[in-house]
Amino acid sequence: MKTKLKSIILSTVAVFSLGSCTKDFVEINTNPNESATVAPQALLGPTLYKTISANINRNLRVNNELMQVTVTTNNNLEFHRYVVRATETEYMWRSWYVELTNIRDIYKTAGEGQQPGFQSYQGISRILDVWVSSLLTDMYGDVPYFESNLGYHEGNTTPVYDHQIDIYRDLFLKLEQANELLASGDPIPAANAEMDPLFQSDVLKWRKFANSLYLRLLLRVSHKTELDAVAKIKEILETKSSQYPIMESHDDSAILYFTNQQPYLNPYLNARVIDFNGNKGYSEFFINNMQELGDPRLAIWATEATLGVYAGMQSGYARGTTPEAQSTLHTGLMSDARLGNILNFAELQFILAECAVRGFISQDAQDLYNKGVISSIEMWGQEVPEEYFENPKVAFATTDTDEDRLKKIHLQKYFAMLFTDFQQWYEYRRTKLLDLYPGPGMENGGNIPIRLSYPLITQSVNKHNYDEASARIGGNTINGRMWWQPEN
Amino acid sequence: MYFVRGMTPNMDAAWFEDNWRPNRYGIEQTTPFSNLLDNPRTMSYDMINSQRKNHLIGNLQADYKFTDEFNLMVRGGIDFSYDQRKQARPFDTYKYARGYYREQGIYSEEVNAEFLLTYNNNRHQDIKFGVNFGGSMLRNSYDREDGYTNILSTPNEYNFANSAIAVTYNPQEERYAVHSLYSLANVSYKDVLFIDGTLRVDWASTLASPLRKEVKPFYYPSVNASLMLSDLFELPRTISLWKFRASAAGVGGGGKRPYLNMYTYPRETNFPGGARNPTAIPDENLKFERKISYEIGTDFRMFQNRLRVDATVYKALNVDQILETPIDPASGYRTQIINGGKVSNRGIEIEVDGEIIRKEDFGWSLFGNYSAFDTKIEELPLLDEESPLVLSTIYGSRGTVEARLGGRFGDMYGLGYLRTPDGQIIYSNGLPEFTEDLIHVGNPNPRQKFGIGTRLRYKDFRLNILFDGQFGGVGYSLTHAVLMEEGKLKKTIPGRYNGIIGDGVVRNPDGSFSPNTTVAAAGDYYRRHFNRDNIESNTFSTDFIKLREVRLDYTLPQDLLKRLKASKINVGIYGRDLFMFTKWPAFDPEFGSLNASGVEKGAEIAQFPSTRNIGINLSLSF
Repeated sequence: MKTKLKSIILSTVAVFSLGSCTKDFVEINTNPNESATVAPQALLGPTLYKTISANINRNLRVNNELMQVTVTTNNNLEFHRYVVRATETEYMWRSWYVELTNIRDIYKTAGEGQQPGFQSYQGISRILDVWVSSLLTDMYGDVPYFESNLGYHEGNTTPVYDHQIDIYRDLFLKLEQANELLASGDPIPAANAEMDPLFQSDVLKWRKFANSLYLRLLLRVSHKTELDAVAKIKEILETKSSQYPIMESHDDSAILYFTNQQPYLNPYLNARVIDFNGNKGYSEFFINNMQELGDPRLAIWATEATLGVYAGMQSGYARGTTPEAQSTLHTGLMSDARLGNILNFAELQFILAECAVRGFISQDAQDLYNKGVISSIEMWGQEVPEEYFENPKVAFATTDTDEDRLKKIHLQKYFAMLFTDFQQWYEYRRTKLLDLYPGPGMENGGNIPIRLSYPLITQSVNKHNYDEASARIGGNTINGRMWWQPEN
Repeated sequence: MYFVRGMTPNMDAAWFEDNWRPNRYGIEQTTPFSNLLDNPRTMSYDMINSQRKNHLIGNLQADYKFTDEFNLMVRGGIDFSYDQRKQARPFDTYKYARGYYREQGIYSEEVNAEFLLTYNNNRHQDIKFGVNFGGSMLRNSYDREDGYTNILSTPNEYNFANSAIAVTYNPQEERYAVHSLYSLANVSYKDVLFIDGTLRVDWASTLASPLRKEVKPFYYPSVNASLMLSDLFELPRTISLWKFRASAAGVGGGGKRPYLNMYTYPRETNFPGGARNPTAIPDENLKFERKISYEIGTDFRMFQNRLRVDATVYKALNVDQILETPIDPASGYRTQIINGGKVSNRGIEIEVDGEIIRKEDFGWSLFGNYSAFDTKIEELPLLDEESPLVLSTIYGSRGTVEARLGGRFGDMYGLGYLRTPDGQIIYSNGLPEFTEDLIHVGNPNPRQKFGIGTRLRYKDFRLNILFDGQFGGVGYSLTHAVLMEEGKLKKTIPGRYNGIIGDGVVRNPDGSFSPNTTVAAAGDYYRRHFNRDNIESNTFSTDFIKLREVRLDYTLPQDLLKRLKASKINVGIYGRDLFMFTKWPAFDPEFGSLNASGVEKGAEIAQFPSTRNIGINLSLSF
């Protein structure tokens, strides 16, 4: 009896002491799965891959429908009629901003850690920041930029929407900074090369990418005088070209090649064919132009509609008359490494060629244009057919006006930027230099959307700033003009 | 379920039976009529989720009586389980053209220990009292081993050796603990007045701050009183009992999700040395959440307890609920952990039970309950008073479920029809236009619930029937939206052959309105009207009345039992959820868990039909 009593009292004491002892609670609540700190190189690969995966996803769904690459047979998708459902716009907003947190964190953690190569990582961070921020503002117009991505560090969960001109001014500052940081040649340790899927830590290639991206964005705002874009283009390409190295060959192209081994799988590698191309076909605009060009890339990109024959569908077909898909996306694309394109050498050549035609620089537009065409065809593993440049649709004729030549450049640029986020759409909005086919079912007055609307959720979660930004463009519609948009 | 609705409704299930092409088992599916969807037979027979689970529960309790008045109880318990799960998907299935295989091993463990010292003093006739003191601890841990591959080398071979790519390994560990001390005192006077009070202090590991290296305790008290009016006063003899009660109580907690108060980087498993920023902002000052409720009630019985009425009025305050709220992704994050403001919750509950006939061989009772409640947002945690707190988004960000200051908890906002100032729908090209802004479409929480039932007894037979229902809530139905888009509901018949003219107006160039006269094709018309983005047109009342239960039991008579040497044998048949009266368009308006405190999504997204249960029940005791 006594021992029983003792043991009960003892166990009571034991339980009681445990009950009040909470010394290990801090340790229990320290997350064993996650790390309190991070190295810049750890963030780079995942954020690049995820951004590119999101881009290709919406390139196929949105850009290609708006830009008459493909036409859907799905009644619920009406991009090709210029109808954009309000729920379609959140995906990229969310994807880009979430990745921008990682991208800007590379700059921060590199600066804090000061490990070898940290300045190069800071430069890389700036380049990717500019890349993603420009994608954002070019899609939506005025967007949170200076106050964005500070939800944790500054507790700001309702960032103000900045004016596009101010954003662009700052993007250019960041590219200047990237160029300087990378010029210092702070080498990244060889061990980190694997963690950079884009350039394997080749600092010079990053620098060339920075300045090539700079040219893309300068040309985009060159229709406005406020930022002196034309003068800057001249400086980069002529007066100070030694300080601004740009891509010199396709080898310098910024492409995240999908190796199809973890983690760099083509996002469609494990999709069923039907989910990849089952409810869409290439458009008449796309197929007709390819055929008129006699372009060898068609065989890589498209299936034959019937034996030996390629054919397209009408884009913007009327409701209730869904046509049959003809040629569609080639299944080889589902494992193609090149779907991870960011900015390739060919695009840069077309940028330069346009600058030459517009007289921003004094270089031979024809030569730059030809280099772009050859680079893109070769990028897709094809040989340029001998008669290709004799085709009047391709070759610059002496009788061509500047606009004729620009149209030829932009048709080739359109094909060179296939499967590249929203560049085809952004460029068309800037130049209107493609002769897209009008369709009978097109709405919105037959006008291609100028922007995507701000996501629905921002009306609730960032209401005050949303209201202000929407009012600035006369309502949150797909037709609200943005700053760099030329008046035409 | 979302996929199954894509099937044509009048197809024979037999057409799906040969779900693989000849000699292509596990490689190439047959998908009759819709090549986008997996064959339902493949889903049920060839996409295998297997599970092996061992579960052990142990409890030990010791009581020691020091004296008649002084008692000690010590109790300990452990509950652990190991759960092995495997998931296999064949080639040529949606999302997995080249198969998928996953293995998970989940070890979970919960240890409890508790003691309670009680002292009861019954020495005085009039005043009796007792004091208790106790403490408890709880420790919970969860360890998951998790690996998967989403590309296999060869079909029908499910193991990691057959993976065509590096296997993704993604383990997860979670732990939390709660320690408590509490004390309870009670006193009663002449068995007429009873008062008891408690005070409790808790430490929750989920609130321990790794940044400040500290854990703060939190306290919550409660007081209860009840008064036997029927013993205090001389009441008519027909009144058998009348009791009045009141209470004020607090309950606090630190939640069961650990690691919400420190910023940490999750790994990116597939990337060599990969990591990323979290998508939820932690709350470094996370506090305990609490609920304070005040309640008064009465229990009233008449005619030898044959009529019983119980009524309660309450007000509860939910303060600082731990929530994960969606925020603008432009902040760089998708959600934020916060302690969420103050929500008040008021209501009444009434229960009535009357035994109308009480005879030896026959009895008949009627009973019912009714409750009405409402919520109101009294404080929000955010600095900007105009900003609502978003609780969740409706199916793919089509709208939001919000708490706005002064509004009800869980109000739903989404796109709706663009209307003229006098409320007519505006059409363009024969199709209705939608708003650009989110509009208020209702609240998913019902305001009233009731139940009504009857018990009949005749000799050894007993029959119970129970109806219940709810009123005042709404819900968004994706099932309705997609079936209307596809023309699968009867409502889409008008205009099927000649088109349809929508009831509304069109905007004239001068800004005035005139009636819509444009004929739209039925497919376009219904697809636009009931497009899944139109929260307004796909939101319906979730009011219902259900025949919840019918039950008939027969107890075998005593003389028969004696021969069987049994003390009691009972045979019954029962049916649950037999019939439903509702205007809800898709199966069952009880698609989610509706609760009074309101964390409720308000959207039905392709629910499974609810089931009607019919069964028999046999119970034996010897």
